[in-house]
Amino acid sequence: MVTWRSKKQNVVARSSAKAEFRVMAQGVCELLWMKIILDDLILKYEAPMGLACDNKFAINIAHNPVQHDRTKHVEIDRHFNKEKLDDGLIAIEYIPSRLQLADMFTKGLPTKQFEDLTCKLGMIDIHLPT
Amino acid sequence: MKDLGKLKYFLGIEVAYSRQGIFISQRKYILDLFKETGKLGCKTTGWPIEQNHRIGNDEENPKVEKTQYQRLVGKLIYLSHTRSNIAYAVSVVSQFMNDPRERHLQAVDRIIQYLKASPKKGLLFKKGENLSMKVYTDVDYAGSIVDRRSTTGYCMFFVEIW
Repeated sequence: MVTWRSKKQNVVARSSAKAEFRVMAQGVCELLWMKIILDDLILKYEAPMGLACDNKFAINIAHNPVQHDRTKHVEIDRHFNKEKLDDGLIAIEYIPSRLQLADMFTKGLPTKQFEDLTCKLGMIDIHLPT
Repeated sequence: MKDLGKLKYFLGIEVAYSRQGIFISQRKYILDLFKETGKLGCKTTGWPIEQNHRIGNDEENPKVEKTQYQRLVGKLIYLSHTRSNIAYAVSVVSQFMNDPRERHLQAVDRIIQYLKASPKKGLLFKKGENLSMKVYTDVDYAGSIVDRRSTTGYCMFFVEIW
């Protein structure tokens, strides 16, 4: 893991898809920023950068060019995501909630899941045999 | 200018190198935190924040000492650099910096108890062959019981996890 964030959003979202869009847009910004850093380090990365999200509805809207009435209020984030998708800079994929690594940054988790995810993040005690 | 060799210790962060990769931890910073708060003998717990914690403004409970609370939370914020699994818990307690109550201090104690259970943990940046950038995004819709705002969470990886 290289970067992460856990933050309360500064606006009230009226639907979960809107909230999800906001995060996706932030995730895209983070990827674009990281790409600039990689460029500075002269590391080539041509493939589309992955964005994993566990909300199918939000993914569908991101791909669907038709502007629905009910998604009007998420316009800016939506257009931003769509633009980067069309440029081939990012690729959005669906992941089931149980494989969602970012879960830990949004809510309290039961012990077992918390420990599994902690390990996946690369957070370990190197002094213990694994 | 003088070359001091590889980085070992900087601003409370310890850096170690191995065949597997680079490991950073704040073990000493954590131990100093226990000493300062007098929590060396406190009990331990397996997770930093309960599920469905419903922590709100908690105005009916007594106030706690503000500067002390802010100092503690400030230290925890710094700690989440290498202990990113407490990032969410820390973001919750830091929302109440301007009017901390008993309930919030309990949440802070819980985080310290969790750190007590695993003070040596840190982040390992593994050596990898293939670079694959991926960011995982998640949201807790209307998670705050104070104003019903949602909580953002994302993390980026350079290696395939699954």
